[in-house]
Amino acid sequence: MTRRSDLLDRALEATGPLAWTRAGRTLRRRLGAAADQAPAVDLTGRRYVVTGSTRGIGLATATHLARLGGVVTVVGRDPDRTERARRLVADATGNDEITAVAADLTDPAAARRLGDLVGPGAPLSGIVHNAGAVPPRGGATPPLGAAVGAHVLTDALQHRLGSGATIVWVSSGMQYLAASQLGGPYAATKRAEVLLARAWARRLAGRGVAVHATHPGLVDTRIAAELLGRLHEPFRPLLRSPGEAAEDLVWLLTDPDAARHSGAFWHDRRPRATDRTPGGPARVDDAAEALWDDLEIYLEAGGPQENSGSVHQGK
Amino acid sequence: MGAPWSAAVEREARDLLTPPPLPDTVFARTADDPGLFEPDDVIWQLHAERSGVVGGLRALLLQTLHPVAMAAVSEHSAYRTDPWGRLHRTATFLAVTTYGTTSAAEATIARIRRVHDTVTGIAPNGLPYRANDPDLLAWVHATEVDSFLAAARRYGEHHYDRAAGDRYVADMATVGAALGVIDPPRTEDDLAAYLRDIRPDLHATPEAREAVRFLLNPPMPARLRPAYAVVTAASVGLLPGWARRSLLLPASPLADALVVRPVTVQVLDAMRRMLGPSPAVTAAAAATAHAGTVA
Repeated sequence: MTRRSDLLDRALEATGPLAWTRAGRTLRRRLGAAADQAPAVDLTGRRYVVTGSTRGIGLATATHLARLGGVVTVVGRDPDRTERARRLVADATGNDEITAVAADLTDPAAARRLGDLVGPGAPLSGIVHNAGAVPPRGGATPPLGAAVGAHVLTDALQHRLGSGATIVWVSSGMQYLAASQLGGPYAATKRAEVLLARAWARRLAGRGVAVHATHPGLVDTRIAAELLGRLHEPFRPLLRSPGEAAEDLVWLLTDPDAARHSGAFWHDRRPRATDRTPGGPARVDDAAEALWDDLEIYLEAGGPQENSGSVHQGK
Repeated sequence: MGAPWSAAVEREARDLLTPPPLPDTVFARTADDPGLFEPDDVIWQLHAERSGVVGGLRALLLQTLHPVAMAAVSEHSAYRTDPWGRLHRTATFLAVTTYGTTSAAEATIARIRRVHDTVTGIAPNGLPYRANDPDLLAWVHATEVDSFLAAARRYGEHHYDRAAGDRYVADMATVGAALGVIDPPRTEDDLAAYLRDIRPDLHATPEAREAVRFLLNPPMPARLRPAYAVVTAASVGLLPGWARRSLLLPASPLADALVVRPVTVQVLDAMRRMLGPSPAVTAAAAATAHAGTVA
C-alpha cells in the first residue's frame, strides 16, 4: 500500500458510514487502498462451517467457499430453509460436499449440540459466525442474540480446528453505537461479537488459530431492510451486494497476512479501530474479559430458560 | 379500428402469436384422464380471455424485479434470441395445464422440471440460484397469477369478483404446486401478502432495466409495432406503482384511463377476430362436447 492510498483509506475511514457504502468499497479498491481481487485460492478438502447461511451474506459466503472447492456445512434456524440452501449451494457450484444442519443459535444448548453434529473427519479450516437476526427491542429473545450461541459453538468446535484455521465473526459498524445505547440490542450484539473475537483470539493464539471480527459494510440483506425500514429502497444503490461482502469474508478466511492480526476488527480488508472513543486496546481487552466472565456465569446458570433447543441434521 | 389491419398485418400477427399446434390427443379428456380442471373452473374461462397477452407481458415485466430470477433468465433463457418462441412455450404450457388431459399436463410439468434442473448458477450479487428452487418458482408463479388476474379484470370479457379471484388463485395453486412451489397462495389475500413480503428482495438491477427495454421493444415486423405499443402501455399501466417506479416506467393514470384502456380493448378484440379463439380452447371444448355425447 502506497502512502497516498494509505492517506485516502484514513480519510474514508473518517467519513464513517459513507465509507461503508458500495461507493466506499469501490473507491478503496480503485485507488489501491484495499486488495481488490476476489480470492481464488484452492480450498479443496478444506472444511468450513457457515452459520446463518440460508440467505444473504452467509449464503453468498457458503457459495464462494463451495465454488473454491471447500467442504461446507450450512447452518440455519429452519430445517427446510437450511436444506434448501444446501441444494442451492451444491447445484450452483457443482460441489457435492455440502451438508446442512439446522440449529437456532440464540439457544446455547442447540449451539452445543450443533458442535457435536458437525460431522467427524478432517480438522476444520474455519468457522464463519454469521447468524444474527435483529433482536427485537425489549423482546423475549435472549440478550445478545446469536452471539452467545456462536460463543458456545466455538467452544464446542475448538478442538476440531486445525492449525492455520480461522474464525470470523460477522459483526457490524453498528457496534460503535453500543456504548451510547443508541444502537439498541443489535449494536450490543455486534459489540459483543467484536469482544468475543478478541477474547477467543487470545485463547487460541497458541494453537495457530486466528480469530477476527469484521464489518462487511452496508450490505443489501434482510437485516438491512429491517434496520432501514422505509429508507431501504432509496438507499439501495448505496448498499453492497452479499457477493461483495462474501469476497471480503473469504479473503479474511484465507489470507495468510490477515492471520497475523488475530483479534482485530476488520473492514475493507484492513484492521480498524475497535472504538471511536479513546481508551486503547487495553480497555477493549478488559471489556472482552469482562464479557467472557459474565457469559460463563450466565451459561452456568443455564442460559435462557424457555428455549426448546431443537437441532435437526440434514444430509 | 378496421382500416389499419391489412391482410399482411393479419398474416404477420398470426405468424408471431400462434404457437405451434398441439396434437388433439392432448385435449382428449376422458373419465380416466380428466385433466387438472373442469370447464366450470374459473381458470378455464380466465385463460381463454383476450387479455392473456397483456397479463403475460405484465408478468414478465414484474419478474425482472427479482435479481436472482433475472440472473437465471439472462444467463439461461432464449428470450433475447427467440422472444416469440419463449412466449409460445409459456402459452402452450398454460393451455396444456388448463385444458389438457391430466397425463398431458403432468408430462409438460415433468419436462419443464427437467429443463429447470440444468438452470443453475451464481447471480451477479453473489447468491446462488436454481430454477427449480421453490422460492424462485414461487416468485414466477405469483407474478403470473397476479398478472393474468389483473389483466382479465381490466381487459377481459367477463367479470371476476373477489370470489372468482380466490377461485382462480386456488386453481393456479394446483399448477404451481405440481411445478414445485411449496405452499402456493390459495386466495387473493395470500397472494397480496406474498407480494408484500417479498418486496425487500426485489430490486431493479441494470440487467432488469435492460430486459424491460427489450420486452417493450422486441424485434418484430414494423407494421405490428403500433398494436404492440398499445399492449405494452396496457401492461405497464397494470403494474403496481412501486414496480413501475423501480423500473423507471412512466405512470400516466389519466392517459391510461382515457386512451390506453379503450384502445387496448379495440386492439385485443381485433387480435381475437384475426386469430380466432385459442386452438387449445376450441380443441378442449370439442373434446368436452364429444366426451359428453359418449357419456
